Amino acid sequence: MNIDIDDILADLDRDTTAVESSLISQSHNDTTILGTDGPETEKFGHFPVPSPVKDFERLMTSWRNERMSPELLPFPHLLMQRTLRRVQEQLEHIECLSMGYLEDTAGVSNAADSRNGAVTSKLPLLAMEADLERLKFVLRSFLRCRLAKIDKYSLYLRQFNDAGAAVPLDELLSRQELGYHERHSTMLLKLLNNSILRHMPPELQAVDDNEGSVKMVEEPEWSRFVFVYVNGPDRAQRDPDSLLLVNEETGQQFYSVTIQELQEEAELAIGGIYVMRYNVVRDLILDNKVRLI
Amino acid sequence: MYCDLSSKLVLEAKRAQQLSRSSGPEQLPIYQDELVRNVVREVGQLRKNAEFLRAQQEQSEGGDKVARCQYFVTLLCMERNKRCLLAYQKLRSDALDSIAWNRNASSSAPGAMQQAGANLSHYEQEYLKDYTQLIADMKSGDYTDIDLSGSLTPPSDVFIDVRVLKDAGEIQTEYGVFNLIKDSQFFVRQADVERLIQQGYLQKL
Amino acid sequence: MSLPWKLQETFSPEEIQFIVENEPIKIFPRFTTKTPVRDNRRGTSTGQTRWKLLTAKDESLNNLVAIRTTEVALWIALLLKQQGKCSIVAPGWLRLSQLQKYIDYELKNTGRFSELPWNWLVVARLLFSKAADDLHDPVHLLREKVQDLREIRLGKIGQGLKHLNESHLQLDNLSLLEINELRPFVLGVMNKLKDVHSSISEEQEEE
Repeated sequence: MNIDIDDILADLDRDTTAVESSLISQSHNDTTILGTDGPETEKFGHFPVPSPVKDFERLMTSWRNERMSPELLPFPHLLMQRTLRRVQEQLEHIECLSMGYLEDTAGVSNAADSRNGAVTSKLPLLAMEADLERLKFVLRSFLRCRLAKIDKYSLYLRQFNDAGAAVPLDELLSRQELGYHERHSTMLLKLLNNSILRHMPPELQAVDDNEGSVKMVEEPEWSRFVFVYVNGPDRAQRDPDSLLLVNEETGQQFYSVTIQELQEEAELAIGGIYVMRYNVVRDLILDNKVRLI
Repeated sequence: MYCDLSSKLVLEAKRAQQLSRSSGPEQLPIYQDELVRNVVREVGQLRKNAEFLRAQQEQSEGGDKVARCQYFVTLLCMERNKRCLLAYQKLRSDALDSIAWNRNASSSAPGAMQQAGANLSHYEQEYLKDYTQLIADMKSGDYTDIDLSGSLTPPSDVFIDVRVLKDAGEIQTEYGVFNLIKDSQFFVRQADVERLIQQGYLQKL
Repeated sequence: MSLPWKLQETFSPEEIQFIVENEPIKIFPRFTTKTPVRDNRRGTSTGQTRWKLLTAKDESLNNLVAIRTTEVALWIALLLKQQGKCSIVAPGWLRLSQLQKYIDYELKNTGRFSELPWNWLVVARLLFSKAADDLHDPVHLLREKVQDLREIRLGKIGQGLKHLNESHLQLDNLSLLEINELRPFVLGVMNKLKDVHSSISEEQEEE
C-alpha cells in the first residue's frame, strides 16, 4: 500500500489559509438552509430539518417514482425549496473556495503539479463540484420529466377537477409548473386552432371531444403495470403502521391489496419486488410505503 | 375515396416521428400545406353531402335505412378527417418542442435551425418562437442554478485526464489557467473542455 | 418534448449506474483528513479544505485516517481511486468462490433467484473497469464468472416469461439493471394481456 507520507506530515503541520474563514461562515449559514420550516422550528426541535443527505434520498425517490408513474405526482414543495436553496449556497461556497485556490496556484496548473500534492488539497473541491453536478442532474431530470407529463396531460390538467383528486391542482403543480402549463397549452391550442380547427365546421371545432371512439383528452393510464419495491413504513415513524399485516406461518410482514378489475387479493411482502397495476399500489406509493423501480 | 387523403397525412406524421427519433428532431420534414388544405376542403365537401342527406331523410320521414347509414358514415368521415389533421399537427408540435429544448441547450448549429425553419408552416414558426421563449423564461428565475435545458445524461467522470493533440493556447477555468501545448497532459473538468474535445484539440485518456 | 422519448418509459443504463453510485462502499484511504485532537481543543481550523457534500455523507470524509477503513459513496470511492488516493475494499460476494456458490444456487433452484445484492452487476462492472487491482481474484476470471452468472439468470428469466399474466408478478432478488432490461418486454406483454382480458370480460358482461 502506498501512503503519502506527506499527508501524515501535513496532518501534524498545517497553517490556516483564507479559504477556511469562508468555510466557517458557511457552516453558520447552515441554519438558514431550512426552507419554510424556518430556523425557529429547528431551534425548538419540533421539526428537525432534514439533513442534505436525507433530502437527497427523498429527491431520488421522488425522481424515480415520477419517472415510472403514469400520472403526475404531487410536487414536493418543501423538499424542492430546501434543495434549490442548498444548491445556490453550495455554488457560492465552491466559488469562494476555488478563488482561494486560484490565488495559491495561479499559473502553475500543469500536469506535473496537478499529479502531486495539489490534487490532494483540491480533492474536496473536486468532490464538491462532482457532488453538485450530480444533484443538479437529478433536479433537472426530475423537473424535465414533470414538464413532459404536464405536456402529455395538457388538456386533462386544464379540465382537472380538484374535487375528486388527492391534492388540488395548485398543490399538484409548483407555481412555475402552473405558469408553464398555462402558457404552453395556450400556445398549442392557438396553433391547432389557426392551422386546423377554425377551418372546420362549427360542430367540429372542439379539441376536447371525448364522445367518439377514441377520447381526445389523454388521461393517465391508471391501470398500467409498474415495477415496485415494497420498502414498508419509514423506520423513523413511531406510530405502528395499521395497514401492515403479518403472515402467521412465516412471520413475514405484508400489505394486502385488491386488484379491483379482477376481484383478486394480493400480498405485497416487505422487501419484495412485484409487477403490479399502478392503481393497485397508488395509495401505498403516495404514502412512501412502496416505491417505483 | 373519402379519408384517403387524411390517411396519407397520418402516414406522413408517422414518418416524421420516426425520422425525428432516428436522426434527431431537427430533421422535421416539410409541412404538407397542400395535403392539409385538401383534407380541409374534403371536410367542407362532406358537410355539404351531410346536409343534403339530412334534408333527403327529412323528406322520406326517416324510413330509409340506407340513407340513414350514408348520413352517419359521412359524419364519421368528417370526424376522422379532423382527428387526422389534429394528429398530424400534434406530432409536429411535439417535434417542435424537442427542437426548442435542443436550441436552448446549445447555441450551436444555426444552420440546422434554419433548415428546420424552412420546413415549418407560418403558424409553426410562431409556435416554435413562443415555446423557445417559454423555455428561456423557465430557465431563468428559480431554476437558474440547475441549467434546466442541460444534459439529461448523468454526470460521470466530472474530472478527466486529457492529452493535447494540437496547440490551443490558454484556457481559463476555475482551476487556473491551462496552457494547452501539444502532447502535454492535464487533469481538468470535463465540462470545461467538452468543446475542445469535440473540435479535436484534446483527447480524453 | 421536454424529456426525450427514450427516457419516457424506462431508465437509461447510465441512469441505473448513477443510482448505484450513490450506494456506500468501504475504502482504505491513503491520506488523512482527521483533525488532530490538539487542534480541536484549540478550536482553530487547520488549513485543509473541509468536505461539504449535498448528496453523500461527508462526515467520514472529514475524518479519514490513512489505511483505516471507512465507508463512502461509491462515486467518491471511484474518484479517490482515480486519483490514487484510496483502494477500494471489494465486496465479499465479488470473489470467485462466492460467485461459484451463487451459480450453484441458481442452477439448483430453478424457481428462484439467489440473493445477490440489488446492484451486483453494476458494482461488478464498475470495479472491473476502475479498480481491477483491488479485487480479491484476477479480474479476467471474475469477469467470466459474473458473465456466467448473468447468463444463467437471463436464461431463467427467459423461462419465467411464460408466467407473465394479467394479474401480477413477484420477482424477488432481481437486480435493478436486470429489471431495467426486462422492463419494456414484461410491461408490454402484461399490459397487452390486461387489455385482452378486460375486453373479454366486457364482452361477457354484455352477453
